[in-house]
Amino acid sequence: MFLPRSFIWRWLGNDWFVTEKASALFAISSLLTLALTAVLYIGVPSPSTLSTVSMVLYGVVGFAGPLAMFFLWGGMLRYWTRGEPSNRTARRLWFIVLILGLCYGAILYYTFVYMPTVRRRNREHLEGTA
Amino acid sequence: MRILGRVLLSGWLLLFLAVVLVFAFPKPASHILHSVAPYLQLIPILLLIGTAAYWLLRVYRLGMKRPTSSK
Repeated sequence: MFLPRSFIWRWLGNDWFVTEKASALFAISSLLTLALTAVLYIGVPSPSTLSTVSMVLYGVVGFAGPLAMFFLWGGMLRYWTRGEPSNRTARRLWFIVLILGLCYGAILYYTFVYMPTVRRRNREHLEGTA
Repeated sequence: MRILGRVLLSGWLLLFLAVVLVFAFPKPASHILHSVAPYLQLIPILLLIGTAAYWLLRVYRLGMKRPTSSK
């Protein structure tokens, strides 16, 4: 999962990365990463003071959050190695952001590079087929 | 790059072999490992740093190999 060439990424293939489904999954992963960060920063309140719904939500964030972090970081690294061609300076800069920023760098990469590219691609594809 | 990969792989294999030998033959292994005892912590740390650097270099080279846009 961590090597951009290996594991689930090879199984999913390059075409999967530019689908709406993939974009939605990475968006959910970004939100879960931010939610987990907020929970870790604020702290978990005592379970006796929480309602059932809140406990379930904390559980979901606690379980899916770490998985989402690795999925997002690995996915964005994979997209960086295989994705849309850009100039070398921008590519270098985004590599540093992804390596030093880890999953938070991946959120930035998702917002400023991946999402606009996938949206543009899908729009062009729709216009081409219409 | 390929040589570095082989060196790292050999290093990890030797480390795991040493651990297996310590479990299989505790007394003779302790005599042999006694001479390298001061470096026992250093070897896995160096291997970890080396593997991380190797991984970073590989990912970087893989990403920079792609064609660039005309922009």
